[in-house]
Amino acid sequence: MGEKDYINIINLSKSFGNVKALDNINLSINNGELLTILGPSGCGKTTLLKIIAGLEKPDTGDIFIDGFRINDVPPYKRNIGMVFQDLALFPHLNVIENIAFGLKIKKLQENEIKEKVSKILELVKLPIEEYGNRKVTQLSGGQQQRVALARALVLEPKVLLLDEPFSHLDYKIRQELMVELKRIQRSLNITTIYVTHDQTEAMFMSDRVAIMHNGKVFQVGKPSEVYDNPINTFVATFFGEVNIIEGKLNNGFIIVDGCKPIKLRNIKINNNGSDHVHIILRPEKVKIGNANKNNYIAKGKIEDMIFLGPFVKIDIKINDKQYLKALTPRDICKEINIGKEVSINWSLNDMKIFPGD
Amino acid sequence: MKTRIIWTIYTIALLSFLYLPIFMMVIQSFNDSKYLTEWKGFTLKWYIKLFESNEVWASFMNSFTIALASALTSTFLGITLAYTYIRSKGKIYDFLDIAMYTPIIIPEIAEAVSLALFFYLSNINFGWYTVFIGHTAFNIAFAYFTLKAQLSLISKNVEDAALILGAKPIKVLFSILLPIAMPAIFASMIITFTLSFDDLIKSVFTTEPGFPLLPILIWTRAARARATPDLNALATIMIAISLCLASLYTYYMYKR
Amino acid sequence: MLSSLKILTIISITFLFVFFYIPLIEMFIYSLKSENPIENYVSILKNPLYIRIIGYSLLISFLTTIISLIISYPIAYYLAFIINEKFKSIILIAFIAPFWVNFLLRTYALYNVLYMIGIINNFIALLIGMVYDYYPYMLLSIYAALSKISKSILDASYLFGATPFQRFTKIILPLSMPGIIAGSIFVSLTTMTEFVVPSMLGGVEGYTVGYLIWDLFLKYRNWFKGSALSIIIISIALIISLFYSRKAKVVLI
Repeated sequence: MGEKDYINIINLSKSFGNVKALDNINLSINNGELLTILGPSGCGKTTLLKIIAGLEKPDTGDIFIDGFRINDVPPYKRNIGMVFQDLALFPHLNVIENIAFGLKIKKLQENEIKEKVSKILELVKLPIEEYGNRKVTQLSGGQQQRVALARALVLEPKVLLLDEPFSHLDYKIRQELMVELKRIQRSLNITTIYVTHDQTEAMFMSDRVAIMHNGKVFQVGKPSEVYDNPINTFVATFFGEVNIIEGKLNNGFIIVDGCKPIKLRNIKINNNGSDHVHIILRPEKVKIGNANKNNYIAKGKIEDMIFLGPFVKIDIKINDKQYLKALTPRDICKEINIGKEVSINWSLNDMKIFPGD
Repeated sequence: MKTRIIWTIYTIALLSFLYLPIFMMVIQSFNDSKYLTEWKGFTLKWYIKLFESNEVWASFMNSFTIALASALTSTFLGITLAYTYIRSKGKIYDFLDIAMYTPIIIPEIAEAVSLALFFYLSNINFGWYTVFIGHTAFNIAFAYFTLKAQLSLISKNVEDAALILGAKPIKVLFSILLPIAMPAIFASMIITFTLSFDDLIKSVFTTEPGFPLLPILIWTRAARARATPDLNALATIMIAISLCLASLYTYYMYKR
Repeated sequence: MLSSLKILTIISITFLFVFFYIPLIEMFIYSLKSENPIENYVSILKNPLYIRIIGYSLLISFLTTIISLIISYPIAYYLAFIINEKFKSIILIAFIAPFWVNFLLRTYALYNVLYMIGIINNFIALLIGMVYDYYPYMLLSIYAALSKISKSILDASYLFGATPFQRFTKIILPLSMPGIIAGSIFVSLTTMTEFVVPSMLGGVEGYTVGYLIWDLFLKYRNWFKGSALSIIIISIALIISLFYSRKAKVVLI
């Protein structure tokens, strides 16, 4: 355990019947950081969150917060704040009552409660005079989300958990709230775990990101680290866009149909005897040039060009089964049309090689 | 356009056929004459006769206390079953759900006679308790289905949110679950009260001569051609009460 | 608190089991009490009078179901598709409200009117009474199914050139089938053993299997036979509901 570790999850496993939802999870979260757990539906991220909150019990493993083992602490004593996917606001209470709920349980004085509620509503930009007495069912989706956040934060919890809080909101509101959340999280310096299946959210929000799949954490790191150095094909494809090139190992070279043989340099692959490999390549690293250039790895024909504002995404066919996506700034594409033959190049350092399945 | 008129006429006609008998009975309760065919003048004498009847009062009080007790008990037990079903997973709970359908499918007379047999063989005295049990065993199923439908609309996350905010499970129950479920609870109580209060067949087989019940009184008078005009007065009062309960029920069930 | 919930659940289930299921089991055992266990059943099923009464009750049940269906479907259709939105809730409540009035009183009220008209103490009066008392179940059931049909499906059928008649037969009718079936099950099951209405309105012709069971217990004091007949009726009810549920995969409530 490092000095900065605030939350430590050790050897955590949980099964529901025959389904292994969490498979020996080990994760550390630093004090004051925002860690995003990113993964597809069913990967176990919500289960993990619920166990940290105390709503589910793990089969094996331990959870430490600030050095204390909290496995046996009931959820109402953990001092954790949580925002749910469907908000879970209390429909029979108004905004003030929803937020004051936790404070009343703590038996604070009336005026102290009023002050705290007022302050937190200010923080989430819902002035108490205007919104305080409204029934929560009368608010818009974005406003409800702010109330949910306020309700969790007003108790000054040690940890904040968020389970895909913005997934059901409009795009613009989602953007707005993500910025708000980041601002609030930074200003309060509260250790936060944010769960989502949306990689754009993950890239935007996180100090660090953990990629989960089938109950396992595949990789943890800063977004840029995970993006540049994915640990396997799944992480590469799930975090950012990626080209997967099928190839065969042969005497220190990788053979791809339609390409010149690619020399392997200091790259060790544990292939279990198979010669099938995947080359992982980010679209922005694919460089397109004139068809009669000499320095190239592959040649191909442009099948499609998609306008993306400042960039253009180009689909290039290099053999019968293989397409490459290239993300190119617009000004470089001035001479390129659909149907044109081009040469393709990339730096060997930009490639990641993984075993093929 | 023409078809619309035909539809409307059909509907109005049917509604009239529906309400005419009730309407006539209400009017007849104020009729000074015993006979439907002649109107002798407005009077309240049948109502007075009704209030003076000990038999009616005794029957009414018995039916009322049983209905109230049954409504409270079956709603209370029904809500625990409904809540358990909703928050649990497993084949055994699906089995429980099916088991709750049976009281509704089984013919009432068969159920009634089985109760009589049961109490007889167990040497239990017929009276308040046997009637109460007979009504409640049936009403639990109705309470269960009414509450199950409404409770399933409350997401588990709402309860979890309360727990995380520091509320112990008991507090979650009283501060969150019960207030949100209150309209459904009222609706369940109204329907089980009505079912018990109006019950005839189960009551006949679970009561004894010294414990009269209102539906049995009505049956004895109306069905055996021993009807007296105060029966119309009783009917009118009961119709008024039923319609009030009906509006309350509709109000609570559709509050959302 | 979770343990209190468990205890309460167990109490509730026990209550239901002891006071609902055990009496039924006891009745079944009782129906087998005599030298030859199935003697009671045999004597019932071999008795032409009993068979006739059972058949008569099933006939009444069948007719009530059909007539309720024929009368209720147009109303449900009207409420779901034709009526002006403003009046919908009022008319719906108007049809359902009598439902809340005591069953006996409704029948008694009808008795008075029928007596005045002169159609009383016969099969017709009986049937009118049965439909009068039971149609709300059918109406509600069909209305629920019809109101679930989304307007977009109907609009789409126009685009595909369907005539109003085709729209009804190919879209609305099939989609309302679950409601028809659920309503039919409920009405036929409950009217099968109904005897209050037939005896009040049908006079001599109002003797149904429900009354027979009543008499076997209270008048003839033959509890063994009464139990056997009850079990027979319960079995018929269970078979009917299982048959319909399988056919339509419908949940009753």
